Amino acid sequence: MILGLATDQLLELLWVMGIFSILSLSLNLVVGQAGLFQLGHVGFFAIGGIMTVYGTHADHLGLDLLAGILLGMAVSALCAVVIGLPTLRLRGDYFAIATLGFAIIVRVILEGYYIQGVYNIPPLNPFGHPIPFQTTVIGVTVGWRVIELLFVLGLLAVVYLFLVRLDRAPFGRALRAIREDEVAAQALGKNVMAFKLKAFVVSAMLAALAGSLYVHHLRVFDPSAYDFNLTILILVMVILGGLGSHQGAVLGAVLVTILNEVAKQLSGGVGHDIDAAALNNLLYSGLLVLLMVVRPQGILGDRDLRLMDRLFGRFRRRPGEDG
Amino acid sequence: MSTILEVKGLGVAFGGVRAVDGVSFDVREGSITGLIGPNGAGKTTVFDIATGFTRPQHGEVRFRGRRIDGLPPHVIARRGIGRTFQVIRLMPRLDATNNLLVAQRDQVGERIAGALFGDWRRQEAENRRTAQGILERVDLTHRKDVAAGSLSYGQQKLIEIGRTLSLDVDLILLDEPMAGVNPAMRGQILDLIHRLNEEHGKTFIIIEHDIQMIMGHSDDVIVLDHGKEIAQGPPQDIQNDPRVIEAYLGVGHDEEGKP
Ligand SMILES: Nc1ncnc2c1ncn2[C@@H]1O[C@H](COP(=O)(O)OP(=O)(O)OP(=O)(O)O)[C@@H](O)[C@H]1O
Ligand SMILES: [Mg+2]
Repeated sequence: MILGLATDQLLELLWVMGIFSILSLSLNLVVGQAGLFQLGHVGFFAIGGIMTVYGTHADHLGLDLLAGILLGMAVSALCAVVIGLPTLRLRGDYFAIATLGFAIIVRVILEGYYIQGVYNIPPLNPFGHPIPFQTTVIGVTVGWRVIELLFVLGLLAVVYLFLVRLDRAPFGRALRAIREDEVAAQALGKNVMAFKLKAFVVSAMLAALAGSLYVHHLRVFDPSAYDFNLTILILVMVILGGLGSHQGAVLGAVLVTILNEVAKQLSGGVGHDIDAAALNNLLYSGLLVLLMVVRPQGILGDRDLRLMDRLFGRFRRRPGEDG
Repeated sequence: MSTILEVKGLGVAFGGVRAVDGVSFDVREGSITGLIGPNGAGKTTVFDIATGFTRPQHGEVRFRGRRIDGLPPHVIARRGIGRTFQVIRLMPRLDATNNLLVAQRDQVGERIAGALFGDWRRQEAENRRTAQGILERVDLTHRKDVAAGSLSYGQQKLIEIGRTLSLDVDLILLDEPMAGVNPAMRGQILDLIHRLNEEHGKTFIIIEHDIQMIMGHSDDVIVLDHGKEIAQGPPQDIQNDPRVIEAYLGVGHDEEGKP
């Protein structure tokens, strides 16, 4: 049935993978690398969405796309500071609960104001001028869905390289050290609070970025989409791929997207007897249980495969990597 | 010799337990000072206060004349006090080298901008050389790439001490560095302490239950009992102090505190 997908569906699937990859990569920074249990990632995803709507929509500020995206990231960063400052010094469970509460509050507020949804959101158009339905690039005719997809995948690549660079630098080592033993890290002069807050804020900003891209693509804002299940879904991606591994985060996003699609097709195929969402949940739960039994560290464990290094014969070890 | 650490009227209670109850002492710069006392005397709590992990309810702690009590641990560490823990605290999944590297000060690559755009690799290369030097000094060069969690117990203790060298502090607090370590390794740790003390001028405060060892290797000894300091002075005075003898005999011959 996957083979039967039309090009449009395939593009859509790749696009969802791109957005989910940015989301899971950003969550991995906090949960995988810093070892903080974050249960409200969807809140930042939603803030990115609504702020870009506010920034770019003709009924509101009417700014251009970039300004909208940056507005979402800035507001997200601010929220992360406000939540992080009081809770990150406390035990991890306070932080988990605070972030969970934050995501619920965001959703309740959004549903209060925008229960009908927001329509006519400007398209994800990086060029600023109106996009033709299709355009010719070097003699090849492509729909603007393709351009949009390339734009998102390009941003995904930037986010990926950014996070890998942070991780391989002493910043990443310090985060891992804090995850391993916070008390020891403090005794070694590390400002644990500052490191955690930085990771949390950066992660929130990237989630907001994904949130902006998401609404500009759908061109509709629906507050009910930002529920707790989505938080769990992102967590599943990170855990599935392997906490702490960037490639794992992307792999997790890809697998979950495929799984979603399979569930959708299956439930459609049996004549709507099975609810797609219920089937999804069943698949994830089963997969997670299987994973915990077979490979608790996730598919890739907590590291990246060094494909580039192997291909080019370099052998550089990431700070903090053993063996 | 000048005073490097000054503790005055220190007190803290956990619930009803007065873990530390009016403790005062001075530690001379360049000395090896032993901190002894029966189980539960409050020794570790004194370390926790001096390194910022426990906030005292009474009294003050001065490091080189400046108050440090109540400051957060990372600030105290940067001022120049390093410590090891009674229960070893390493980053088990980082290798030996990186356990040392992470302790280095002022790393450009620890700031986000520095990590992205800074030339942290040059500093890292230099830090690596420093780490190699420390590994040589603690005789663990052959284990440099081994995950800290896979090192032997004694080797882990050495890395923990090595980390305080990486942090480059003047005052090092060791909480039972010899406990549970085999005799050969004990000798190695003792040697290391003396070399660091004599060649690099490091000041040590060492908590130990092995009285013989403390008496034989420290310049000064402080004795705690039930949260109070009951004696301090050179080892030969302490050995004959009736209060010390009573404190130790009072806890019974089977206790760990027995010489
Ligand atoms: N965080 C804490 N909460 C409650 N009680 C504590 C805490 N830390 C220490 N205590 C209590 O304070 C007293 C002193 O403890 P401390 O660990 O300082 O003793 P110690 O001299 O290091 O003993 P040992 O030789 O067994 O290590 C003990 O009665 C202990 O139970
Ligand atoms: Mg103790």
